[in-house]
Amino acid sequence: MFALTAVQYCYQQQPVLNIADWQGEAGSQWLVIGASGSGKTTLLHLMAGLLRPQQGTIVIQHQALNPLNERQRDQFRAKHLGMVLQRLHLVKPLTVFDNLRLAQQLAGLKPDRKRIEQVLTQLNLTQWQHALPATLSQGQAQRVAIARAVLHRPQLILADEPTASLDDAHCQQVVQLLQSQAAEYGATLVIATHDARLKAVFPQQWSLEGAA
Amino acid sequence: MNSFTLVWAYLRYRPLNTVLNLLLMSVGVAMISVLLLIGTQLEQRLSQNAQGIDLVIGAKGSPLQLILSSIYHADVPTGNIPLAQVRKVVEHPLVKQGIPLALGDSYRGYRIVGTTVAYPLHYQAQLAAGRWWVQPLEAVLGAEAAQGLGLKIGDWFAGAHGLGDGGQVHAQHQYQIVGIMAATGTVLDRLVLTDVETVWRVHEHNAHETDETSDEHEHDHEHEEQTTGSGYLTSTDPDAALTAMLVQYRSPVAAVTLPRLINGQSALQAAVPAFEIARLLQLVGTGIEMLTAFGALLISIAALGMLIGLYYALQERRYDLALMRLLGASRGRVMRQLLLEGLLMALLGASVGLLLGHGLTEWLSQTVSQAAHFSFTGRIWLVQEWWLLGLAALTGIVAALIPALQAYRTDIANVLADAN
Repeated sequence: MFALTAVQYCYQQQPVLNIADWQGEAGSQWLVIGASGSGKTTLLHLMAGLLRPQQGTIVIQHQALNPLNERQRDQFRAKHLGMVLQRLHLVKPLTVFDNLRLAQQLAGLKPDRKRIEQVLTQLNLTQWQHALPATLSQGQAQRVAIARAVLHRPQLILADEPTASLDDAHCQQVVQLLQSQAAEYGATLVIATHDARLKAVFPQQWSLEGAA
Repeated sequence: MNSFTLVWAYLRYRPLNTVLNLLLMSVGVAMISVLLLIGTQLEQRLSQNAQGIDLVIGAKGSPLQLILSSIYHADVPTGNIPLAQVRKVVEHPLVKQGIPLALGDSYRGYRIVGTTVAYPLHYQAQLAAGRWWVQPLEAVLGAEAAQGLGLKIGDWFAGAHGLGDGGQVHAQHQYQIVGIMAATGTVLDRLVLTDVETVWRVHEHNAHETDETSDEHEHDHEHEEQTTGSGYLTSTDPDAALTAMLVQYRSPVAAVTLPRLINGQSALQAAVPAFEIARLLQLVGTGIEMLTAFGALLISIAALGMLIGLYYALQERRYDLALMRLLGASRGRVMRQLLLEGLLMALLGASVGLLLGHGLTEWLSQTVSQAAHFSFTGRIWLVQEWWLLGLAALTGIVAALIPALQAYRTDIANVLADAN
């Protein structure tokens, strides 16, 4: 679950985001809609604890982020959150398998080869596990990014423009994957996008228009 | 997936950059390592061979040449000195012992030295096999000489005139090997020892040789006394001469008076090994210092290359590092990652450099004949090399410090937002 109350975030004295009240139940799936520059990425960074609001409170999984120091927010994020970034960045020198191992290690989890293999199987990536990121297609890289985000069974999955550069078929595939993975772990899913194709898929939507 | 594995993956991902940095670091370290190994062993060998020898007496000329030819057998002698004058020095009350050296011949590059048994005993040499010489034309080989010549006890050989290859062979005077010394780690190992009178005899006119040979057996007992002691001094031959005399003082007072006395009042030259070695090391030391400075310069260039390499790698990897932070890595973890990269690269380079340095020293010791006079080896480890390794590690950390601090200060939200 998440709850944002009276949140205000300014950048260089200019208000970027103003949210009076927005809450989501555990397991809910949200589409955050807004044009480019409307503050979608800022919102996700606030929810991930990467940014601190100047005002208001953000609660994720019953934990208020404001009182946590930077290290505690790092640890909280590693344990409870999974993020799929717009730019599908994978660590280039590492294979798909090692990218997932790194994520596991940085999240402070014990090495769990079986879990990695399970996620790779679920996302149909087993045959690419020894491939370097440079050799993957956009769709494959997208699936690896999702695998990395759900590997530690997070309670909140945040996705920033996950379908921005995909055709219709791949767009549908990625959304279905995110939804199914979130549903499998009972995780809350928040997708921030300006992609109008997703509007029909998510019953719960929240618009950032006028939130600045 | 630990930090080491990740660093290793990054190093392998940029092979050209990694290899160039490794190359610079390893060449610098190798150069310093070779200089350390050779310099240290040169100093050790110089001191070891001159230990207990207070003064060297020889013909007038360069004192350094006298020391090099008499103690280290690495140069040609300055000339001969008449036995009559040597006798006066040996009988001086301030002289405890004089060890005669009669040079002039060699066998396949190994010098034949006419002396007394006091010479090997001075270096605490022990026989590995056989016995010391007691008769003329008996020889005892140093350990390296025996191995290099492939000779054994009972074998015969004829020396050649001169200290290098290609001299006239004294075919009429065959030496018999009666003993082989155990290795001493000194110049003795490369010598062929015999008695002084044998050297005199080999260089006498051929006309005398037949008579002398027929007399040899009659005088065996007499020679036994002469070869092991100071019997050579009783020679009545007015032309008898030595190449040099190694002198031990009876009293420290001799150090003040004896060299001055000999240099001022006789046709002889007295050279003090300690002084000449110090002078030699000063000369060699200047070269070693210059080469060491060059090696240090190479290490500094390697460090600079590492800094530049890591700095640009950081620009490329800003998103990687931000991603690591996003996945839960602390600022310290990210900083350590880059420091470890610098450290690992420096240690790898230094290790390769040390291996190279030792290999090169060993190769030099076996191929450069001049080096063989001092028996270098690359198969030893010096304490200073730990310091060299530590210095290289420190260099790597310092080179990585600026990029690591930048990584530490990276604002991940900004980097991720910029990437979008």
